[in-house]
Amino acid sequence: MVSRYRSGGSKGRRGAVLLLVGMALAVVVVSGGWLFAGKASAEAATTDTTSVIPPGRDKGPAPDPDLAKMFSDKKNCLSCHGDKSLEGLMTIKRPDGSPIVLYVDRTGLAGTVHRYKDCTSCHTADPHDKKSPLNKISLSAKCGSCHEYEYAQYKDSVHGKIQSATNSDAATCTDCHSPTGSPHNIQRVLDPKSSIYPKNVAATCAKCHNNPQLMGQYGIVERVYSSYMRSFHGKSIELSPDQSSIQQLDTATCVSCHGSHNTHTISTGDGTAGSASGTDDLLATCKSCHPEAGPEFVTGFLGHKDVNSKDEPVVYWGGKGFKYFSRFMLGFGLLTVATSVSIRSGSYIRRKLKRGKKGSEE
Amino acid sequence: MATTGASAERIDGKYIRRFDVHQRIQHIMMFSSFIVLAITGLPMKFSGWASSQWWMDVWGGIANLRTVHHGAAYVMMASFVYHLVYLGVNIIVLRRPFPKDMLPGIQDVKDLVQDFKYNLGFSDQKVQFGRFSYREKFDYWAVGWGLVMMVGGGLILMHPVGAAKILPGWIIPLALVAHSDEAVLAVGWILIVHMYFAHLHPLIFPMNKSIFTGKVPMHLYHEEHPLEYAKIMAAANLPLDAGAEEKPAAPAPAESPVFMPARVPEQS
Repeated sequence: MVSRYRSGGSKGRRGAVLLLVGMALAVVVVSGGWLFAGKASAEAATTDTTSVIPPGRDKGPAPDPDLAKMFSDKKNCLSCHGDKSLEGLMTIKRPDGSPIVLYVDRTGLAGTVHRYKDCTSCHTADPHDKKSPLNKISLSAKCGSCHEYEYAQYKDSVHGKIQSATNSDAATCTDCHSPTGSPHNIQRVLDPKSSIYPKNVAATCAKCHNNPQLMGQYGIVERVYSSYMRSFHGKSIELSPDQSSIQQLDTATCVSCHGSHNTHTISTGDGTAGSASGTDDLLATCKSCHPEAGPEFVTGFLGHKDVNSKDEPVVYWGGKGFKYFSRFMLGFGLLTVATSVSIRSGSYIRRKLKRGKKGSEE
Repeated sequence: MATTGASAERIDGKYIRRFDVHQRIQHIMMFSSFIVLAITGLPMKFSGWASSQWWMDVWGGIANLRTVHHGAAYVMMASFVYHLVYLGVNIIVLRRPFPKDMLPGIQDVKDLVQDFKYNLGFSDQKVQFGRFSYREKFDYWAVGWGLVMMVGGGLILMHPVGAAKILPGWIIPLALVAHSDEAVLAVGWILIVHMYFAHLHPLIFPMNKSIFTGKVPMHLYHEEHPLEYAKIMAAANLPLDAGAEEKPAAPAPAESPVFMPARVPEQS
């Protein structure tokens, strides 16, 4: 026992020595960076980046030690790309005129899922190579370099298929996984604050699918967001506690029926029941949560359509009937009360007061 | 102890008996489950409201609220069944007269019109009600209709998969519409009409306790149900103004030999 403690002690000492050496090295490196800045820039010049780095910006301030612990920035990229004053300088344009902002807001970085991946994990090779076509296709391909399975599904999905150099309407990875749309803000799927946490999925899809102009171009006329929020599933998810993941995971959101990376369009019928996307096999989709469901159960689901007199006359006219019946009855009730309150109340109150004075109140 | 019919037995001191213990229990079951159903159901209907979200968090989420809603629904259904059994036993087993006073008739429409006229000052003739006023009959049958709709719709919503096995699929969205619209009607009716006539009415304020005690003060019975009151008084050989508020009840029969034989029987 004693020897084990001793050996442990010696290990601890060795660790402490290593730590001290490491710290000393770090001090040397950091201060060296300051002292021999000229040498460092000379070395950098060998990798042909000086053409895009503005003169004098090849050495930045040391990374904020507090922030540095929360995300990785080994190459000190943020000394320039995290400088708000350079945002204007670092905004370039795509061929279609849309801006690419090269400024990275570091405040959100600590909460992102890839915070310990260094910038160069994605911005590989020469990050300053301006030839890299930055668009939704290249972005998804970049994510796909690690997330291969999701990328393969996405490429074949309704969102992935219609991506082209001239059309970036459809969602790419960051449109759903990042609250800001920036790849630097990708969030953990099961973070309750994440844009794709079950409670937030509908709102995330609604960013595009609640936009009638955009959806009109693709023949999607149903008001999918409002109809979902009115539905049992929508109400259940809206009224589940923010932090209750079990209850939320138990409730159907958009992706439960339509799929996520493998979303298919329902209008052309290329959805596959196996992936629970599309409604060509609606019953199979319903059954994935309601195993007892029968064919009639499916007909009770009106889709995302508003109830209309043509498709569902009974529901439409029945609903109207109940609506006006309720209002008529309530109006009648109000009328009885209002007339009763009117001119006869005075005499009742006088008599009540008189009886109260007599003390014969029961 | 009789609570119906024109019988002297119904007089209990300064009170007239009106509801038996079963009716009072049924009402307690009904209103307590109604309140729970309303406060757990309305936030589901108005799920987008911030207040609903807050209230749902108080209960720990919609799963808990739904469970409580279902539990209260069973209590309300039980009160409905209790009432039907109570009626059946009364009429078939105990061979009591069919409570035809509760059946609506043309007289109720006349009463309604006359009541409006009187309340608006077009007539000085106050409507004379029997055992049940048109308003009470309406409340009773509205609860009956509402229960059928709410329980029927609610059961479909509780078991949509099972319901679709024996009913057409469109019954589910229809049940949702019916259940939620009828719920708002019921809550609105209780808050506006029942709250006024059972609590806020100047004659009643602060509340009409008869559904809990089973008894109505004589002067109130004289005011609210003069026709039945007259029959009871006649049956008890009491003067009509025995319960009038100017003369407090039990006008000292010992002093007037005329009333001697008709002493109000002591009730235990």
